[in-house]
Amino acid sequence: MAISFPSSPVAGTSIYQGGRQWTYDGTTWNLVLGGAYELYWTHTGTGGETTLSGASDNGTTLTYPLGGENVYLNGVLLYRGQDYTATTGSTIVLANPLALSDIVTVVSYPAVQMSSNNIAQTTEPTTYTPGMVWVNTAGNTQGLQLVRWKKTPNAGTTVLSGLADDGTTTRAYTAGYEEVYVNGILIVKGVDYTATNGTSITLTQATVTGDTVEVFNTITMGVTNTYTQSQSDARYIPLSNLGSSGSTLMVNSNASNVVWSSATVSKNFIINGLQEIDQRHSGASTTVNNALTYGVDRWFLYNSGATNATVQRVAGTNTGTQYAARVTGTWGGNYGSRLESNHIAPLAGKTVTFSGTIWGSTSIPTLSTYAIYAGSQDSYATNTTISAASIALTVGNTSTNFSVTFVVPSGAVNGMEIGITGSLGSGVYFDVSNLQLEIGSVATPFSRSGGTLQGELNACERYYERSTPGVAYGKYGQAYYNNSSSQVVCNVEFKTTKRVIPTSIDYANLRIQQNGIGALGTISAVSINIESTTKLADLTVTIGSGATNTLNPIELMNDNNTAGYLGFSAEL
Amino acid sequence: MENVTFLDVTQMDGTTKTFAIIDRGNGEFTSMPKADYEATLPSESSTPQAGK
Repeated sequence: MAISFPSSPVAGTSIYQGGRQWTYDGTTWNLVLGGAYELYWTHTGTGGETTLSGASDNGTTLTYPLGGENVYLNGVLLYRGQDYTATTGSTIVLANPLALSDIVTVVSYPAVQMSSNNIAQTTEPTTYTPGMVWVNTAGNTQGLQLVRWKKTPNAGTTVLSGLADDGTTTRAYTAGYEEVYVNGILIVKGVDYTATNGTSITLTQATVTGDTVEVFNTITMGVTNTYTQSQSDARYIPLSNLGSSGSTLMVNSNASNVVWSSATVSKNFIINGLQEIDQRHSGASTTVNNALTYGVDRWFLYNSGATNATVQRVAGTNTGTQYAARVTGTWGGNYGSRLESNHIAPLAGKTVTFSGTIWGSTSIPTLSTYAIYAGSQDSYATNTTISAASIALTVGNTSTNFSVTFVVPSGAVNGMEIGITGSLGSGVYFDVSNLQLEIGSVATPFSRSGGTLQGELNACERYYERSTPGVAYGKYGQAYYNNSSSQVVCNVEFKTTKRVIPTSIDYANLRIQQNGIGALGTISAVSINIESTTKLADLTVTIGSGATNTLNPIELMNDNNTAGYLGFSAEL
Repeated sequence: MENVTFLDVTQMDGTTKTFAIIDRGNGEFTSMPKADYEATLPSESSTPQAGK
């Protein structure tokens, strides 16, 4: 079919003819995109001619891909290589000359045009114009391919299969898309033959000597780097699933997909998840028997027996972190953190993920995650287990990341305790770090709840704060005569506002000193008075005797060593 | 070995409050109201354990 191009096009003009799109670039018409189509070329015999080429009766120029042409004489398909030769792509030579008024029809299937004008090429265009589609064509040849299987079978043959006469083409077809010709006559499927298995064709009537059989089959056009609809859908985010406002797209490698997440900076609801802040012990081991005892800040070890379990901050060599907490058996109980009600209230009713990194001194099959929520505000005297938060942990000599996703019950507004539960044999231990609790169903890379090291320390100090001057006679605060030679009162301002007024104090190597007198006896007790607040401790310091009612200043300070400290606990 | 003593401390409002002074045995002490100390005995066993 001749293409009728407009006589005065402007750049960018496109026309569609014969299933193809042509675009004028200001100088020439370029084939932009073409689908699969048949090209018809017809010629009415003038008598005697054998070579066919050039213009058809209606002006179309003869062209065909070698082997992709079908030549019909008066409607009968000619036998390629016998009735005609077609070797040039533009000329067909008949074995016998045409008679006057013979009709020759050449049907061919040109290669599908996916390329031209920078549309389909191996390198992505650097600039695009409206309507341009880029297809990466690196690799396979493209095009609609017509496979011709031609055979001259022995007489009496009914089943056609195997190699063609050319010795290379194997009989193969897609059932329903084959065309079978016997001596150039298209025969009828289901009547003259059956073809169901894709490899063989069974004729109703056996062949006789001299019969030729041709089977045509089109095969799937090959275009590289294409996707099925489901594959394509998987690569795009549908408008119907854009996530909530402000959410971000996040990779979930566990499920090999991406999900929307509302995770933000300071996403971690667990304080000191890196197990790095250790105000109480500074890396020293602590023995735990029949008690809930804090190791690193905000993390306690509960041991149900008098079995000398220990907890200690250690280097995170085994967990790939700076620090880890190490729990050593014999132990049975919980290693957990209690999250303040006001802190975790936003989690109620939401999907959260608890994650961390764990390593064991040997294979430990007895550990799992756990979570409970408090029965009344920040009190665990009664509590409820969140069963969905429990998963068995794989713990061994390899650092392993774990995560469990669960829904926090809507009633969990009084505080939540979360961590690792189980038991350890004597001397067996595990290291754990990177502990994180976040909104969403994906465990994301660890980040400190407090954002920075200082922020994390301040977050810890809401629950426990220790002053360690680090120098001999380092001072904590001013003290006052309390109408008793054996008691003074001392005010110490907290660095961080406490969750509640502290009731528990720990201390070591302190003294009360009065200028001009020196140390006043030996401290026998330090207790916190009811006048204390969440910002200031009002302490009564009991000494043997010696406090005098003079104007000389009285101070609470370290003894003559550097190890003195004064700590205040407002822990849960 | 821990050693616990109890100490009555007169508060500013004139009331007396009893404190537990826990001597950790290594020069370290913990002080807390006697009632708080007693709340730790027995220890908090309400938290769940694996397999229970």
